[in-house]
Amino acid sequence: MTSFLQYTIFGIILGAGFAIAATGLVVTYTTAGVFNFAHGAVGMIAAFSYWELVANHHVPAVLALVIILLVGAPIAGALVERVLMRRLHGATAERPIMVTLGLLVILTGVATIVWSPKSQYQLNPIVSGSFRLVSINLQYQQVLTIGIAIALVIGLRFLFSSTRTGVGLRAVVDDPALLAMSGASPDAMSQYGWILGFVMAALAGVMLALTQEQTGISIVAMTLLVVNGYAAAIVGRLKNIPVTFIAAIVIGLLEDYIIYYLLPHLSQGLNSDITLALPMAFLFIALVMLPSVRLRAVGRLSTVRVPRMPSGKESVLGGAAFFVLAVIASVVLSSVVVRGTNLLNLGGEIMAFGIVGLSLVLLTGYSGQVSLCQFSFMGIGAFLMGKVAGGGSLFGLVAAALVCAVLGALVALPTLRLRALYFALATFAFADAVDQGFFQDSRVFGGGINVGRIILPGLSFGGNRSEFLLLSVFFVLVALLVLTIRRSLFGRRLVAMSDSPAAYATLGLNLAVTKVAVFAIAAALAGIAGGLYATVNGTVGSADFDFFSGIIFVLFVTVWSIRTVSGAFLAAVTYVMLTTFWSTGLGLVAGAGIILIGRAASGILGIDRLSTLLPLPWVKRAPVAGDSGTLAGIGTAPMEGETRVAG
Amino acid sequence: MSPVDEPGLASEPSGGALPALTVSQVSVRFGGVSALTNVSLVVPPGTVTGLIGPNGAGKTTLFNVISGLQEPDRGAVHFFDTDVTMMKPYRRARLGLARTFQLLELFGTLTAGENVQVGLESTVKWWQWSHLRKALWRNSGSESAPGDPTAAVALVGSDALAVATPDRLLAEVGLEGMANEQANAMPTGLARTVELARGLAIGPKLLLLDEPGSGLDEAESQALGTLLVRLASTGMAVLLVEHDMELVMGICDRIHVLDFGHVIATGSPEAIRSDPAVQTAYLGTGSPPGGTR
Amino acid sequence: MTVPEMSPATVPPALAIRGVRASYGRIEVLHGVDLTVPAGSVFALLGPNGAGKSTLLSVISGQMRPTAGEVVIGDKPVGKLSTQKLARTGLCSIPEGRGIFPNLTVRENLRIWTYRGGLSVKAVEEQTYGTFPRLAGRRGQLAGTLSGGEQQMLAISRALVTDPKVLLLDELSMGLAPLIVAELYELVGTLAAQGKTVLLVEQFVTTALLVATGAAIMVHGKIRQQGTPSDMATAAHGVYLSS
Repeated sequence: MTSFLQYTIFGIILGAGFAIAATGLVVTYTTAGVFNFAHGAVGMIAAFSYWELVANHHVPAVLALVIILLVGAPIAGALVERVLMRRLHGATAERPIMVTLGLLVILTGVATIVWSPKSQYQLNPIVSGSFRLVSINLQYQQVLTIGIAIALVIGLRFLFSSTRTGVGLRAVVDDPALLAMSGASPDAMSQYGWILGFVMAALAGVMLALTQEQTGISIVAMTLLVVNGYAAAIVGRLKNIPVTFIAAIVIGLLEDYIIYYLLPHLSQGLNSDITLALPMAFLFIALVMLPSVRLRAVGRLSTVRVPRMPSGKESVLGGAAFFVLAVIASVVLSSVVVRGTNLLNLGGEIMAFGIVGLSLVLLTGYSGQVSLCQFSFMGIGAFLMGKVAGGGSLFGLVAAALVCAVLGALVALPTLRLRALYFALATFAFADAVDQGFFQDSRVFGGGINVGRIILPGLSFGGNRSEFLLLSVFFVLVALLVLTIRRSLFGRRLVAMSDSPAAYATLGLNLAVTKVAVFAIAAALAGIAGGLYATVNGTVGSADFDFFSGIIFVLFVTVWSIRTVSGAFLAAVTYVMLTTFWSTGLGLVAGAGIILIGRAASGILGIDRLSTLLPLPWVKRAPVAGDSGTLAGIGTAPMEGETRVAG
Repeated sequence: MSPVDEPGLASEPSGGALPALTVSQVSVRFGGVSALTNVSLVVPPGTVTGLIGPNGAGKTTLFNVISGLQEPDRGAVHFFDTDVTMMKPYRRARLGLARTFQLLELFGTLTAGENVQVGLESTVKWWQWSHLRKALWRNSGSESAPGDPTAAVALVGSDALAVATPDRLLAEVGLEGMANEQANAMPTGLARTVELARGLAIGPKLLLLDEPGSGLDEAESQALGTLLVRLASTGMAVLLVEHDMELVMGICDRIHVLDFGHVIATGSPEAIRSDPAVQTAYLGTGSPPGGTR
Repeated sequence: MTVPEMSPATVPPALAIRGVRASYGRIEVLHGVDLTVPAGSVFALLGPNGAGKSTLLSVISGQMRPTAGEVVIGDKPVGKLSTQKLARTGLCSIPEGRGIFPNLTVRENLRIWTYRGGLSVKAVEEQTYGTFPRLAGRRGQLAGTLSGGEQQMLAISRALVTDPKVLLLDELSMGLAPLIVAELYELVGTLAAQGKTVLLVEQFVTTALLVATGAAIMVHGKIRQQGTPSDMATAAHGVYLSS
């Protein structure tokens, strides 16, 4: 009984930490209308800054907290609003997702340069000492966490309903124009909103880090710890702070009970740290329970200029030319070894990642669905390639495609009715759950599984050159397939569905079926890519399909151009080159790229004027009918969630 | 005050044929705002029926209820003898109900031709291999579409064997040679016409048009009128929301007037034009709207 | 066209629009609009849908920059001012159909009105509920769930409590029952009597002309006619129900 009480109290403490993280997310969504994927990373940076100040520079704990919360976080929040977020007004739903993800990978990238990614850091509590309550030893630090969480709920409630600034912060999301007409500055309001959000993220980071006194904190674990709050925020529909608080406490309790009661009975069967997958499982469940998005005519006409579609003839010729170049490259590069890496093998990897990029062109570029879990399907494909028919068999490739297609359909089915942000979050949760719960399980990849090269009757791909050419052929074939799909009836439907769901449905077309189908096809392509990738180096491990790498790869494709084959290919080149030669810079480059292309939805390959590239505040962007304006002023592009009562 | 049709199913149009559309006692509220109150109307096949009323009267909301984008709080919608009140939008469209949108809902990154083609192919199953095979070599949008959009064929002309293609359908609505224009780069008036062609492409029995004439010049507007009359003559039922009175008065067989979410008058163009209640609705005087019922 | 001068030159205009052009992207919707609104008048801007009336209001309230021409309030050109600065200098703009924050309660909306005017919430509430007793009972209700008339009362209460010099009203009567419209326009008359200048955009000619002291008809992005309310009533009939 004592132990139950103990677990309950620890669960509440953990939940209080989650509550601080979750309410911060709600604050940013309420005041900026943006779901900040980087919330966890901001908290992580704050926690590490706290360590830096307290453990390294011997600053008193309270002073360190004051510096972080009242100086560091506000400046960072104001800067992020001014440079990144203000440019997003009126952009499509996927832009804020990509930009905050970019911020996430930049911050984790910076952290890995400043602090060691492998080490655990021990933090000193803000208040030390403990006391006994009934029979349980409680630390003052733990009581402080609960106290702060409760104070925040009450304080924020007061701020948002009873102060002019608080009401103004809510109003700016509703109708910035009307707020301006009432004499308040919408820009200043959204800046306050981001400052508040960053302060709360920092507070959550430090408080959650201090609950980990036994293990210490590491960069990735810390970032994901704050993600625990995401599920609670979703239960609160990103707006209800009291509900979010209660949900956070319940999640904290559940997590504690599962860890102490359920896992000891399962531990024989689980070799991975399943606790790390729990938050994402909760997030996925919370998302599935959300109500469907209502189909409505918004009168928004996408004004994105799309690249001209090559005709069938052109794409076949282009594919042939690509293959000829690959043959030449295979001759030139065959004996080149840079820093111990054979360039031909890198070329093979590029082709495999290129195919994943193509799956994103199909899924996100054509049909407008943001998926952050293509690397999960890739990893599953690689795993099957190694296990089916002794490895290196074409059957492995077929199995990879089929299993991934089915899995893809299963992920899409419960989530396709959600709006874009929640769908992206669901794939985010799925990707991390697969990584933590499956890939990290020592029996899945272990120290890496061996996969042989593909053997076809009469053909051997044992040599690096033939392997490279085989993968080039696969890339060309998949590229032709994707382009053919785009030119086909199905492709027209994908674009149509993305451009106007309301018109799509009123033409007699079934949105659900199309969405599941394209998601399954894209998953199958990623599975094939994974299977091929596995054959290049003969061995694959879980690190190849790491969750963060998956996000970074999506960002690279977006930066180059998510609507074209060239974009997919260039993203693969960038990704493979950076992972091989400068892996610390991976996140930095991807994030910087996303920030540089700003709201230009077409990526670098789609940019036709330099002003779109510059995020500098003093460069005024001319309103170009090129990215998010509307034609002939037919309705101003309403932000997602805005209601329009049509008369 | 004008005579108002007895609302509900009982009010069969002249001739006793089954109406293509019957809206019975439909009410919709948004929060505290009543958008539609007990609205009833019928649209017989082979006619152009007008729906007019000032801004905010509830015309677009009624279109949303009919096409399935808005669930009514009360009332029913029948498509011929099928109760479609709770049916999903795509199922209604498959029964033969097409619409356009007041605020354009074109597939902006597709070409005009592709927009129409998505409509033409709406009954084709995407997994049929033949479509992928065709797309292997051809340009997008240049293939002739299969399927049997009867109305579209009827529209294309006397040639019974005529196959409706995006090009021919676009030519039919006066957009000859514009198939390769990207839809979101077209001027509003033309874009509206593309939406009309796209709606026609599914071969509808009932066509809902939400202000198709806005953004058109006088000649284009006249051409639109001629086209709508011709569509009706093929047996199609057309429900037209329009602010261009010349167009509405010129081609409608019957007009319903919506004001504050109520149907305040129903009748022939002549009757509507001289109806004092309608003049009040448009020009505004002091009498309350309920007074006309 | 020569515009008949309605008021003697001794009354300086509160609002003057000179040669204003504006476009959405490449499409120009205002082709050089000239309009002078005398101080203390209620001026009705009439015209069919799509004539550019709302666009003109967007230009005046600083939400849209004109490509040519200037807007003068009092004796100051205000073309460079942001919307919130204009609001603080005494321009109250109530946009069509959305002059309130639907996801805030009535009381919270009133709290936003205190950004301009320097009043406390209490004072704003007192004044608003004094004029519109119906709102008092709904102070805790989300504004989006009010009836259309109540929403518009809440919207116009901003003009009531912030004491603007110039008031812009876009389609005040849209979707409202005539009795409520009459009540609202009575208030507009009162505001004008207090010396505020009102520019209202209306599609309901008769309603608007009941309170207007001057009027103009706008067609296709230009002022077609300007004159006394009764002249305009006749002219508008032709523009609206032409056939």
